[in-house]
Amino acid sequence: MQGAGPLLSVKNLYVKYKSYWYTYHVLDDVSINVKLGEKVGLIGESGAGKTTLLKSILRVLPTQGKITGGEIFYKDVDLLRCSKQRLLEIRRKNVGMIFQDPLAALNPVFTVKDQMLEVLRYANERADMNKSDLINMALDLLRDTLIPDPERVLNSYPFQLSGGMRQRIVIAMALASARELLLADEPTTNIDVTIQAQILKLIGDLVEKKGLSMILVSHALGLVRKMTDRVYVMYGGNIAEEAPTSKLFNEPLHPYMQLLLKTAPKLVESPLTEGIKSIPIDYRNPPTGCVFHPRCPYGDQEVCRKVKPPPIEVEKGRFVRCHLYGSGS
Amino acid sequence: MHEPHEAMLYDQVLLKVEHLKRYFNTPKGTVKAVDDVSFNVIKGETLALVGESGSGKTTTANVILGRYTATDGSVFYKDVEIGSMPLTKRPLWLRREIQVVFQDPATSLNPKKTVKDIIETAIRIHYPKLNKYERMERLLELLDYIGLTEDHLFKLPRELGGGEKQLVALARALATNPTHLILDEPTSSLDVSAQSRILSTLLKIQKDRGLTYILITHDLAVVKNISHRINVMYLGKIVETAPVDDIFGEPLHPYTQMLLSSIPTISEEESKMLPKGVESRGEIPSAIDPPSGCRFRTRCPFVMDVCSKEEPPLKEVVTRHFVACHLHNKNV
Repeated sequence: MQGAGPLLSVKNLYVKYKSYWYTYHVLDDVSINVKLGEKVGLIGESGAGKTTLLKSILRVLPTQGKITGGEIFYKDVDLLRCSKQRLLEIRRKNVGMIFQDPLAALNPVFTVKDQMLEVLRYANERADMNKSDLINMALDLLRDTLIPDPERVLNSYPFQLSGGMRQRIVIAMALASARELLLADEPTTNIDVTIQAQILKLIGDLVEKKGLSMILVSHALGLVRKMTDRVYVMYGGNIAEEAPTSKLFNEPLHPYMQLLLKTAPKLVESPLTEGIKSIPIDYRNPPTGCVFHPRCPYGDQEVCRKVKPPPIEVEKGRFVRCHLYGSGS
Repeated sequence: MHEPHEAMLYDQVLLKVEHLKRYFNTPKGTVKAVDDVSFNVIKGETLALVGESGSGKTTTANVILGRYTATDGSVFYKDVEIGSMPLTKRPLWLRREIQVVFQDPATSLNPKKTVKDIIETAIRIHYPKLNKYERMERLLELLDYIGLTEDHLFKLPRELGGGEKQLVALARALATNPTHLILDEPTSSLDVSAQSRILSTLLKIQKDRGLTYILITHDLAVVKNISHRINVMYLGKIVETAPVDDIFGEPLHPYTQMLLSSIPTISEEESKMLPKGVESRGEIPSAIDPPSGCRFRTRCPFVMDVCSKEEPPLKEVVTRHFVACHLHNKNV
């Protein structure tokens, strides 16, 4: 984490989805950066734009998604303007992504072996590579992810394996191309807590061992707290707050994050609250001013309705976009 | 636990499950999804069924609901045997009294029907004598009670937030005036911000109407907040049964300890509460050919010789705290 510029930096990114009739303003001025060896979390409810952000980084947005402004730099490569070839190389050799649904991420008509070898072949373009080398590499990766009996698993089809097993394979495949950065998009939703604990420990250990940087996307607060150094809180296509993990959970600043922590069902004795008023955001026509103001307990002020709050640095490394923390004026 | 436990009468059993078995025949062999499970549900309580997928909790609920019939054993609801009665054979009063809320409201609500249609259908079927004005009156009353407004009446499910959709599903279940509600993972598809709204509504309904809940979930924070007793299930068996505070305060079965220690926490305070030392490992084995003796032995850190030979019986170790484990089965 010491010195050096960021490994990945996203600056003022705007993403829109266009349908025949409407334009959806999904990401609105999003900036994040990831330093070498850093584990960054991305919290937010469904529809906050977390996955869109990750997909923009890899440039794998669906066709109706357009990046309309901002820049994404991976080290010194401008991902929005670099050649197709360069982009492919980065996807193949530097950045790996764990997709959300392991069953959808794996092709049902090919064996695990077919799918893993394809990834490995592209990740290791060397003339002297032959098939048995690749198979050995695949087996190593499966062993890394603590899969019992890797030979059998390698020759299985995805449907023959359990959910936890499939997730491990998806992780193994992501690791094949993640030499520097791992993007993990909700790696453990729909998985039992026990298996979730195992998978998280596994990801944590592997990231540590291989010295990777990571972006972990999740709406599960506990998970992000456990796994990351620094967190971005997303709401409605905006970064609402940025803070070191422990500080964020001890003393959240943005009203959205405060409410989230307050309303989450807890193990310790605490009364259940009414929750946050749930108003789905209409991305065709997002709220003016602060996107959170229709749901915010302090959102009835004029400034909230009219002016979009700029990021305010409250202390070093802690940013919040909220008028409550005025710029001292 | 959310209210004094003693308030409930332990002799008022609403639902009694006895030696329930449900097997499924597959080409590979017989899947013993639920294998000899017995428990009582007390009137007015929330009983949580907890366990990983494949532990048989949903199958148990489905037998109670009549979506499956029992392979063996019986389920008594108010002294009527319902375990062998498929849904189509059940009298209307029984269907009215046992209702269900499913996991994902996005799929359990018809996307082409408005909120009004969805709830009104349930009222029309179960109370055919009401005319449309009376139905509407009832519907509005229900919406208001659950915390939705008239504005929601003509909305389609996709126009609602996740939490509101689940409230509609809940209103539909309540439309028949049930006494017993089965909640199948009612919050796990929702965002954190919506979860507590559903949970507090559930508590309110139980307090006002004295409903009995069976809560199926793997989220132990949810269990902690709204239930009275917990059945921990593993591979078709109940391994531990106890009041909520006992499970969290002093979990006895190694599997329960494993479940608890796996919860990701959001504060230091919470982390301190959880047991340490039983790290999660392995996966739930196939229910076609479960391990001999104690079914948890393949993942248990305290496994002994006796575990593979004998199946531990479910024994009362402390008052109302039952556990099936050889570690706690010394004084036979």
